[in-house]
Order: sequence, then structure tokens, then C-alpha cells
Amino acid sequence: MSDPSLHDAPGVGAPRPAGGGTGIHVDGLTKTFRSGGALSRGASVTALDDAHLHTEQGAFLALLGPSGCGKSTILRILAGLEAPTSGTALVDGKTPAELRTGGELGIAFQDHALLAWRSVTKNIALPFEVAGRSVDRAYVEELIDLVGLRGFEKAKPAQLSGGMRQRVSIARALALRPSVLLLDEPFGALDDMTRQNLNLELLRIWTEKPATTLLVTHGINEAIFLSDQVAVMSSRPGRIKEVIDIDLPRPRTPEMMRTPEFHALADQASELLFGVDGRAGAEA
Amino acid sequence: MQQRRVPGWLAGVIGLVSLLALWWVFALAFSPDRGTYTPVPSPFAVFGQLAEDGLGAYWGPFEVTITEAAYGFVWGNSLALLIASTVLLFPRLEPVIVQIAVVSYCLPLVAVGGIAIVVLGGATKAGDPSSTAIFLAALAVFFTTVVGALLGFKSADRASIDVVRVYGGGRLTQLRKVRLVAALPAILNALQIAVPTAFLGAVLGEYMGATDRSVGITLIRLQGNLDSERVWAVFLLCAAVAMIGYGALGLVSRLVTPWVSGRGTA
Repeated sequence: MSDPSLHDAPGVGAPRPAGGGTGIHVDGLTKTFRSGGALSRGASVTALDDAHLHTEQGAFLALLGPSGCGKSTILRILAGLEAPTSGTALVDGKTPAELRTGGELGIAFQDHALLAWRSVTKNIALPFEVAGRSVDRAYVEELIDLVGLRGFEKAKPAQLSGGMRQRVSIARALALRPSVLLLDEPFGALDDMTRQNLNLELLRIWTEKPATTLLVTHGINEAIFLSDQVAVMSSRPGRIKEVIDIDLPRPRTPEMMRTPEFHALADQASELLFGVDGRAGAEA
Repeated sequence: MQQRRVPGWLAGVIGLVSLLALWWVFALAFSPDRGTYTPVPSPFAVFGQLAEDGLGAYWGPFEVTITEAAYGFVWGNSLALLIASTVLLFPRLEPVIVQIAVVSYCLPLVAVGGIAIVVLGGATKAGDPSSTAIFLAALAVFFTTVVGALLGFKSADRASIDVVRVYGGGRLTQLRKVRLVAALPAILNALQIAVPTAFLGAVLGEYMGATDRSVGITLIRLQGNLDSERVWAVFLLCAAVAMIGYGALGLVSRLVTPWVSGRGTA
């Protein structure tokens, strides 16, 4: 507990002992990678140093930071794709492994990671097949409508635009009705207009299918616009600098991005990211 | 900006015509001042000979060689795929497998053929496929298929595999749902290249002798008779057989892996 300021945020984010039924519960999470080959004799890089995060069930948390700050590492640990060097990571009181076996995780990456040989419908149905469940066709159809891809059910990923592929990827993440949604810069590779558009869509989708959500991003505005809390991170080693509570009311509308409150929050976040003099201290 | 691409059939016609023109120029350049032997007969002479003999006259030797190439293709590629697929279970074996493949590729086929003819022998009776030719065909395709398959097994998208892992998929599921299918285009590509290679290997094996009816021995006889028109006719037919096989496999690839874009239309 090196930084008590993380925990005195009012309302949300109050720490609970021994990971009760809260949302994301990350405590003292540290991850070091051994760099180089076997010859570099234990030279290691600390990707993530003593991270603490606590959110309510069903809350939307964004991890905001420069590249290499370990934000994706937190997400990958929560997804069970990496093991932490030390510390605990729980969501809704369950370990990543438990979440995985329960089929409670949904995930989307910057790289759409769709299977090129499967149609939109079959890509969305993939989680059912992998988890060994029978495909809920009605629900897959519902998701296709939800992400606005009616008419493209039989299309292959190569026939879709970048934005449409990410829509499929989001729909696939929702296939198993996950209680935990992990989004690793899902719109990071798209152009600005498509990205704004999809952020609005994501907000609508998240309202319709609520889940405890972790969004990794390097976009300040989208982090604030979408989230209940924004954890601002710094790099080398990856640390959580501060968690900002976003007290903008829901439902959020694009007009809110032009309010003084929004700008104040954005200023606060960029000050944390870049320092007061506006220089990117974290940029290597 | 939009540049019109030459349609595939037109490109083919242009290529064919320029090849024939080039051949003709060569034939004229190398026509001897004396004697009747022409090392490079003109296209007209060769096609005239082919028409006179009829394709049926050439079918005998080609039937044998195509059989050998087919056996070698199946053996060589099966073995290559089998060996390459061990990396799926033991990824650390990859350098060893590559080494085996490279060594197989570096072996001089002529020397190996000389040993093979002693150890394996040729055709047992006229019209039978030669064991040496099958062996050399198999050896010739081994390397490219091993490399192609290794490339294929690695070509699966990392993030797709991560997605499968997050939904609880183990190694077997990753293999079934992602890695094997992702490997198909590279493997089929390698198999396509293996078609002409197998045919070449078979003909080379026949040069080692011990066959009575085959493309290789036919070429040796025709060259002995200074019958250059028929030698070139056999060359042409060899090329045609290789191209038909290559094209057929390309067609199979397109049917099996329709999602691969940018495959040439030939």
C-alpha cells in the first residue's frame, strides 16, 4: 500500500479486505519479465510494479497510459494469459482461472483476431465451440443486430472494413454473456472518426449488456467519456499514478465532451500523464 | 491512379508468344552451317514432329514417369508433413527438423541416385515404375514441404490463439480451431511447388538407368539418335505435365482455402 491516495476516493474504489464480492480487485500486482536470452543472466524488466485497483461490480474502469506502462499486462493477467510475479488479481472475487472455466470472460484486442476462414456468424459463435457449449444461435443473431452487422452475417473478415471487424470482435467478446469484459485498445488501430463512432456504440452496447469492464487505452478523451474510473499509469517501471473518479452522469452523450467538467477531467489526466510543463516524461 | 491490370489470360498469351519468339530466335542463331543435326530445332519443326507422331506415341513413357512422380510426391510429402508436425508437440525440435531438411536438400541428387540404383534398383520389368525414380522424387519434394509446413504451423495469429485460451481452449483446441487451418495455405503452396519438383526428381532417377520405358530413358535414346525434334517434343510435354499438375493443385488450394486473397489467377 505505497500510495494511500488511491484508496481515499469517495464512493467507489474503497478497498475491501480479502477480495469480497467487488468488481476488479488487484492488489500488489507485480510482473517482471526476463529480457533477452538465457545468456543475459537474469536481466529483468519490471513491466508492472505494485499495482492496486479496486472497482465495484459492473463498473467501467479505464487504464490510461503511454505504451510500455504495463496496462496491457494488467489486462493479460486478469485474462489469465500471463501469471503475475507477485500479488493478487481477482474479479468479482474469482481468480482468472475460475473466470475462464466459468466462461465469464469476454475479451477483445486491438488486433481483431478474427479467424479469416470463418464468417461473421461463425466467428461470433467461436467462444461457444471453444467452451464446449452448444451455440446459442438466437443470441448470436441478437449480437449481430446489437453491433449493427445485419446483412453481413455470411461475410468473411477480409470483406469487412476495419471498424466492422472490431464490431465482430466486440460481439464475439459478448457471446458467452460475460460478467467481465476485457478490452485491450479495441479501436486503437482505427481512424479517429471510426473510433469516436465505435466508442459511442460501445457505450450503448455496454449499457445493454452490463459487465465489469476493463478498458486499456491511450486515448484520454475516450477513457474519460466511457469510464466510471480512470487509472492513470506511468512507465518504467509500470505504475499506477492515480485513479480519477469520473463523476459525469450517465447516460453519457457526445455533448458532454464539450462541457467544462469534461475538460477539467481531461486536463487533470493529461497533467498526470505529461507533467505540468506538458512534456511527455514517460515517452522513451 | 488506378492502373488497369492485364487480365490473366492475356498475360498468359503474351508470355507464351514471347517464349515461342525467343525460342525461334535461338533456333535461328544456333542453326548449324553444315550437317543435318540441329541442336535447337525451330518451334515449327518440333510441333510438326509432335503432330506427326501424335500424343499417344509419347504416352507410354510418360505414364510410367507420372506414376513414379505421383508415388514420390505422396511419400516425400507425407514424410515431410509428418516430421514437420512434430513441432506441434515438441516446438524445441524445430532447428533439428530444419537441419534434416536442409541436409536432404544439399545432397547431390546425382550421387544419391547412383547409390539408390544400387540399393533400391530400378524397374523390375518394363513399364514398372523405377524405385530409384520414386526415391529421388520423394527426396526432391521433402525440403520445400518441410519448410512450408513449418512456416504454416507458425503462421497462426497470436491474438487468435489468445482468444481461444481466454475461452478455456487448451492446446488441442488451439490446434484444431486455429493453428491447423491457419497452416493450410502455406502447406498447400508447398505441395503445389512439389508437383514439378517431383516430376523432375523422377526423370532424374530414370537417368540412372534400369528402366525400359520412361521419360528419362526415352530422352537418353533420342539424344543418342540425334533426334533433336523429338527430344524437344519430350521437353515440351514434360513442361505441360508439370504445369497441369501445378495448376490442378492451385485449383485445389483455392477450393480448400477460399479465404486466402491475392492468389494469382492463372
